[in-house]
Amino acid sequence: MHNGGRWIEGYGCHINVLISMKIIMKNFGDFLSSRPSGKEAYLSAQAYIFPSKDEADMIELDFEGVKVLTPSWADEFVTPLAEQWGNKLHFLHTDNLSVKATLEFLKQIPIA
Amino acid sequence: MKELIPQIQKAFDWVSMDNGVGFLLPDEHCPTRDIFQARADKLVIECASDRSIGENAYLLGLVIGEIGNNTFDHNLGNWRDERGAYFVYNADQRMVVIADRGQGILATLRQVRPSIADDCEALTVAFTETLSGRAPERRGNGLKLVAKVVQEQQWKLEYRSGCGTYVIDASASACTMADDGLKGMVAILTF
Repeated sequence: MHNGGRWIEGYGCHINVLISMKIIMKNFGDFLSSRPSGKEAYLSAQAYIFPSKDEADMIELDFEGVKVLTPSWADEFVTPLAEQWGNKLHFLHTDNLSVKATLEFLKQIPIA
Repeated sequence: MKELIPQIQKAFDWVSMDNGVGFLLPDEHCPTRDIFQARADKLVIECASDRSIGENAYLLGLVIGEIGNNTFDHNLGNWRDERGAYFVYNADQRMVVIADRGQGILATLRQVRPSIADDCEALTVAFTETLSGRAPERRGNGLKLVAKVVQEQQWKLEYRSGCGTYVIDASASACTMADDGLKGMVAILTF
């Protein structure tokens, strides 16, 4: 049975594991607003944070502590990640009203 | 529009005058995006501590952020004279006013869709379609979510650019044309 993870050898058998990378979005700021800021965050994360698909099976964006997320910022950061990772991109702590509204809104925009 | 409220009148006066340099007070004027964003963030923090606003302050930050950043996205280096945005908050009226002396919506959208007939059509496109004057950059969706949030929260947004005023409230969104044109933009959010 294979659930999309990777097989590793351990304890005398093969184990299927899923490796997820969690990205703490508050590290980019409490207020995630404007396209230039989102783009800069994405480029920086691309250089130093994002895993390759060899290194991780999924990415989790954790929005705990984020106060404002605008669609412009998210379109520069989240949209390209969604294009690369598809349904392997997950979101955590999306209760904040602006985070929820923005992520739901982005889902409706067709990805080119 | 409530033209008797001083902050609104000042926005229209500034945008309408021949030369806008030096008219605004330092705490009203955001010459750069960073200054605007810092003041917007501060406003959100203040509103979030107001029990009557609460977590809706974060949606307020979304709306203000999108409108204010558009000023810089579409006018950077291309201001008529005074750069940046006028940005004020009237606590009694629960009102935010943002204005700029930029190109206006019609001019920016005609860059990519020359067939747009007038300011009202341009405003309607801006708030309902994913189209940006900065095409082929993939952008142009922010004001759609602004409209959605304003309607769902039963706020009111009056967005004037050129001869057109686009009004969004809980019941509807519609654009009306005035005889006199405004070079730039004035946005009034009541929440």
